[in-house]
Amino acid sequence: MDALASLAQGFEIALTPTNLLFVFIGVLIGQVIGALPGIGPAAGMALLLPVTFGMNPTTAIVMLTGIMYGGMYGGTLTSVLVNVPGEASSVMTAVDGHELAKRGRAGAALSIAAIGSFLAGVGAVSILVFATPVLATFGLRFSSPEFFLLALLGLTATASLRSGSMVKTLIVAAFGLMIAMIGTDPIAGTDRLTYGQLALIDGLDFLPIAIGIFGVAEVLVSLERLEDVKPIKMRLRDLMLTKAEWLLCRKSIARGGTVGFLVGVLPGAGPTIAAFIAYILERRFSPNPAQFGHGALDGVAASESANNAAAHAGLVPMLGLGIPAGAGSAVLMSALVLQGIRPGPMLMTEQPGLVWGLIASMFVGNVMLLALNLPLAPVFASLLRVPYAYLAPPILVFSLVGAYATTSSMFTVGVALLFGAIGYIMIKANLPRAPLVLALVLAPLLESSLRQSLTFSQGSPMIFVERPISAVLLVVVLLTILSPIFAAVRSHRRRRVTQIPAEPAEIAR
Amino acid sequence: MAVAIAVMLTALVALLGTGDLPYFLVDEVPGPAFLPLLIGGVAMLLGAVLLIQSLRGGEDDELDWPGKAGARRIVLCAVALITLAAAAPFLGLVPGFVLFLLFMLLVVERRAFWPSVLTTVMTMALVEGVFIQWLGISVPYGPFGF
Repeated sequence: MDALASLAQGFEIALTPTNLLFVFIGVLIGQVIGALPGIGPAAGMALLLPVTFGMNPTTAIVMLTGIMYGGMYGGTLTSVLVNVPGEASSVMTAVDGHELAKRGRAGAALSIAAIGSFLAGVGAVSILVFATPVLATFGLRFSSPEFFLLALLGLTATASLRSGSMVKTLIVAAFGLMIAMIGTDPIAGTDRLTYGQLALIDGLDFLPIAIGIFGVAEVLVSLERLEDVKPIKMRLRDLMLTKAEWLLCRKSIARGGTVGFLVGVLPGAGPTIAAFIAYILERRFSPNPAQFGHGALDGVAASESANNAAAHAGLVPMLGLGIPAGAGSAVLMSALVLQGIRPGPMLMTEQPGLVWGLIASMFVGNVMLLALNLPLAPVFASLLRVPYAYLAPPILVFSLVGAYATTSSMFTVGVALLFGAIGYIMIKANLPRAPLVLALVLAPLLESSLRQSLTFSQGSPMIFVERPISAVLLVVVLLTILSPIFAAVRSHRRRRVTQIPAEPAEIAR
Repeated sequence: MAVAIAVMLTALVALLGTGDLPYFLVDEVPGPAFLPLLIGGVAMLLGAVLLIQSLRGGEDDELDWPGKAGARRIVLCAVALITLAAAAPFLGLVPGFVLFLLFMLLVVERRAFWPSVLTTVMTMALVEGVFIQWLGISVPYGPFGF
């Protein structure tokens, strides 16, 4: 009941004219960014971070969060109408959504995606209302050893849960930690890895790195192929769903939303993995599994519900424990730090207005997005006719001026460009970028809590085993590291067994 | 393989860069070199694992290079960005951005003249309105007074 009373106060904050305006601005920008291939919500949030300087912290955070989940709605448009996922988490929507569009059912695909996203988003926020305070209360029992292992878990779980090479993910995370070490040692006060450069004394700011890795790099990749897209035409009346389509999809939305929330809460998993798992699971439950890949409306419903639920669920560890679940919540955390607010379990008690205002704003934001996506879908669809070639250079300009705004120095512009080049190479080499950003955000917590723990224990690592919560966390960390290794070894052995040729006597028979 | 070598070199730079810093301070307090040495060591190990995987043919880390037209656009864009960053303190940030936008739209992307000019005007209006006027960001001015 405390949670509901707090939520009511949150609504009082979220429904002020200023916050309503900025929720609308955030979800609108998120919708547009999500629809545009070549730039994702994390890049959009990083680009707009400088705009939040001097804003009220709650207003800044509700706007940035609006971009994050607004991007999930926007990614559907290009997926369905152009067969190009506007956002990575809309890949499965592109598979079936575009097939539906070719058959004249683009409106149905867009409708069910919007309705599914709305219901799953509201459901996820409702669970967040009760889960976050419980997690924060539990987090108050944490001390340095637990925070160190939690930060480490944030990095190892990212490596364990992402598809693709675990080694590459850990390498990127280690690289991020090394970058974070540049500057002044927080305890001893000595220069570290500055190589005598004055500009590096304060370390490398998060913002120009994020702008470079996400904004600049993604635009560079998009410049490789600049064909003008021709979206399939769609009319307002096409958005109506038939009764049969709604009956087919309502359970898909429930299943997708549940999977999305459970996956989204885990650090490193994120909306993309959630959408994929929900799609695969839905194929098992669908009355028409053969339709999957050829225009399955329930497939679209499940994946879109999952990605939006996951985007909201990622805020549970961030608000409750101060551990970001993905790139978007990492940018949000850095926004909190820039506003002078310390993320962590104390956030709910030290800044209740901000936390509950944010949670209430997500209900409001989802209502706004439903209104934007249903009747205004043809309007957003017309934006897709603007050639990307006219958008790419302005995005680069906004990226660089945003980087400059951090310190009013061309040095940060140089940092953004350098990391833009690094981000481009990472995309080409199939290296995930989110672990780098996660590592940058978690590094201060990781280092300070590790050094404090070892100081308390006078150098003994047993402190991580003697405390019950940290012992459990240590086991979980080891599992996240070892289970993919065991899986890889088992898979390698299975492949070797199937390749062993039969004995000559058996062949002769 | 290139990724593995790059990581190992970066780790080596980090390890050498903290070589003269103390690993521990007094009373077993971890010093400034503690975590860089730990992270550098882990990165070296991971780099070695990736290198072995590459040599065994298990990891496909070939870079997906763009075609000729795409490579041209990227190289020109990179040159334009570096030139902008170098020239902006002398030319002014706003004139620098204008020239960058026109170069990208007309030369790199070979777009039509008037839509490119319109795009440039609208972009700079947003930069001026949002960043310079509203947020009050002080940008480098050039010889033209803006």
